[in-house]
Amino acid sequence: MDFTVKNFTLNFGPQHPAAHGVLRLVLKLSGEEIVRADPHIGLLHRGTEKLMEQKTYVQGLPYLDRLDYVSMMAYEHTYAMAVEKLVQNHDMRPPVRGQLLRVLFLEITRLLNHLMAVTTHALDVGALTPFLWGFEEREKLMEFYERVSGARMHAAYIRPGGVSLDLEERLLADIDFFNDSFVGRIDEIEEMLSNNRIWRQRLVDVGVIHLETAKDFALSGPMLRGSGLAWDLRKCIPYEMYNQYTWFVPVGTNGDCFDRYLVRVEEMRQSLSIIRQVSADLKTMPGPVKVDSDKYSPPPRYKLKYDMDSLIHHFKFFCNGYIIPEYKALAVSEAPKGEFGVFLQSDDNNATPYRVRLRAPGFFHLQVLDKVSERHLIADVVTIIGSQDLVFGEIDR
Amino acid sequence: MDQRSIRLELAYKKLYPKFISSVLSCPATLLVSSSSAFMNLAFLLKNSILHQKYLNDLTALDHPYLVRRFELQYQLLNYIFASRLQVQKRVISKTNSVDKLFSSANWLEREVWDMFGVGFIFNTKDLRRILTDYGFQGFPLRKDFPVTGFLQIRYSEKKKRLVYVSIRLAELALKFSRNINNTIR
Repeated sequence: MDFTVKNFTLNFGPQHPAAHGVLRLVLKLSGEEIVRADPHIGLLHRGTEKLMEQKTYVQGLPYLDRLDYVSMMAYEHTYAMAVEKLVQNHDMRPPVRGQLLRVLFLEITRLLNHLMAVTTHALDVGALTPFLWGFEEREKLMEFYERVSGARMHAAYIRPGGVSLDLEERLLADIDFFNDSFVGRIDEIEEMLSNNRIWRQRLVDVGVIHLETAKDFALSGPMLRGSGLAWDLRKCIPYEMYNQYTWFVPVGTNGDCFDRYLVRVEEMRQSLSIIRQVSADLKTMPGPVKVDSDKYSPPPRYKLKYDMDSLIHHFKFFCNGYIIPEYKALAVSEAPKGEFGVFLQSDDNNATPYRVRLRAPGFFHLQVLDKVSERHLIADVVTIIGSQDLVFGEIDR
Repeated sequence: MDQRSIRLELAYKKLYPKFISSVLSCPATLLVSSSSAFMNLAFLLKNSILHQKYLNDLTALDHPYLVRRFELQYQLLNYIFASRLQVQKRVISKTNSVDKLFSSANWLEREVWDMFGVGFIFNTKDLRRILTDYGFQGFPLRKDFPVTGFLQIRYSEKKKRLVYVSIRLAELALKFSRNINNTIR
C-alpha cells in the first residue's frame, strides 16, 4: 500500500502555558517530529525604543524595568551605564559605594531571574514543587527590592550616576541571613531535579547547541556557557566592581538543556558568594551612593526646604532633564539572560536621546529555536523553550 | 583610547584600504562606502587573522534630512580578544544582506526592515516583518512616524470583531525640552 504523508502544521500559542508569555509558534510537523518551528513574536511589542526617544534620560529609565520583568535591575543598570558613558570626561561615574550597591542588587536580580528560569522550566517539564519553593524565595528577594527602593518589581533603583538611595541599616543583616538559608533551598531544588530520572530523560541530549552554532547565532549568557565557552562579560569585559571579587564562571560541556540547567544552578551559588563578599564590603565602606553633581543627580529633598539653588536644580532636573552633547555610547553587561546592550546617541538640542537601541539577549536565543528543535518531538520544544529562559517583555521590546 | 586600539585601527586601514572610507575611535568604528564593499569587508574580517567573526548586533539610525538617510551599524564581536568592532554604512533605502555570513543576521535584518524599511537584497531566508502587528503599515522607528501611530484597535459591537480605526487622542503627547533656552546646559 502506498501512503502519501503530508506535513501537518500546528499552531502553538500565543496563550499556551509553556509559551512563557506570548510566543506564537507555527510548527511544521512530520508525524510528531518538528520539521520547522517558526516563532511569531511581537505580540508584546510596545515600541520601547521609540518611546524612550520622546523622554528625557531620567524618564526613560523605568521603561527598562518593564523589558525583562523577572530581572528588572539588570536592565536599568545597563541603561544607566550607557548614559554614564554618553557623558564624556567621566563626570557621571558613580562613587564606590554606589557601584557596590549596584553589584549587590545585580546579583540579587540574578537570583531572582534564575529562580524563575529553573523552576518554570521544571514546571513545563512536569515538576510543580520547585516552582512553589522558588516563588517563596523570590518573594523574599522582592522584599529586599521593596526595602531599598519602595517597589517590589519595577524598582527604578539604579539611576544614571549611581543608585537612588542608600540602604537602610538592617537590610544587610537580613540579606546575610537570607544568604545563609538560601544555599539549602538550592540544594533542595537540585535534590529534586538533578538526579531525577524523569528530569534527566526529558533534558539530557535534548536541544543540543554546538559551540560554533551558539557563537554564530550570537547567543550569550547561560545559552553560550552551556555550550562550553566561558564567556561572561563580568569577567571578560569587567564593569562596576566585579573584578574585585572571587567567583567562577560555570561552563557546560554538551550544550544540551540539562547543561544549561546546571549552569544556571551553579550561577546562583556563585551569585551568593558575590553577595556575601559585597555585603561584607558595604558594611565597612560608608560614602555617597550617587554622583555629586547638581546637573546629573537631584539634590536631596531636605535641602529643598532652605536652599533655593537646590530647589531650582531639582525642578530643572525632573522637568527639563539635561542635554548631553552629541555622542554615541554602547554599554553591554551580563544580564541574567545573557548579553544586554544599550546603544544611545545623544542630541545636541534636546534633552532626549536621538536613538536608543536595546539589544535583548532573548531575541537571539529565540532565533536559534528553529535550528535546535529540528528533528525533535513536540514535547521537546517545550523543554527547549524552557531552557532558553524567554521573557517576552525583552524580546518584543 | 589606548595604544592597542590605535594600532588595531591602523591595521584595519592598511589591510583593507579599498573598502574603508574612514576610521573612528572610541568605539572602534569603520566607515564603509558602498554596500558591496561591506560584504567584502565582512567576509575579510570574518576570515582574516582579525577574527571579527560574529555579528553581535545590527541596528539603524534615521537621519531624515540626508539623502543617504539610514545609517546601519553592525557590531562585530570577537570572543578571543574580547573586542568589538563597529562597522557603519549609510544607505538610501536598501543594501546587501549578510545572512549568508552570519546566522544571527536574519532576524536582525528583519527587525531593521520592520522598524526602518531598509530592504536587504539577497536575504535568503525570509524578510517578513517581525515585531509589528500582522498587516501593519509604515515604519515606526523612522523619525517622521508619530509616536502615537495612525491606527487604534477596538471591538466593534456591530461587526462582532476587532476593527482598526484612525487614532483619536484626548490629549497630545508631551514634548520635552524642544526649546533650548529652557534647559540646563
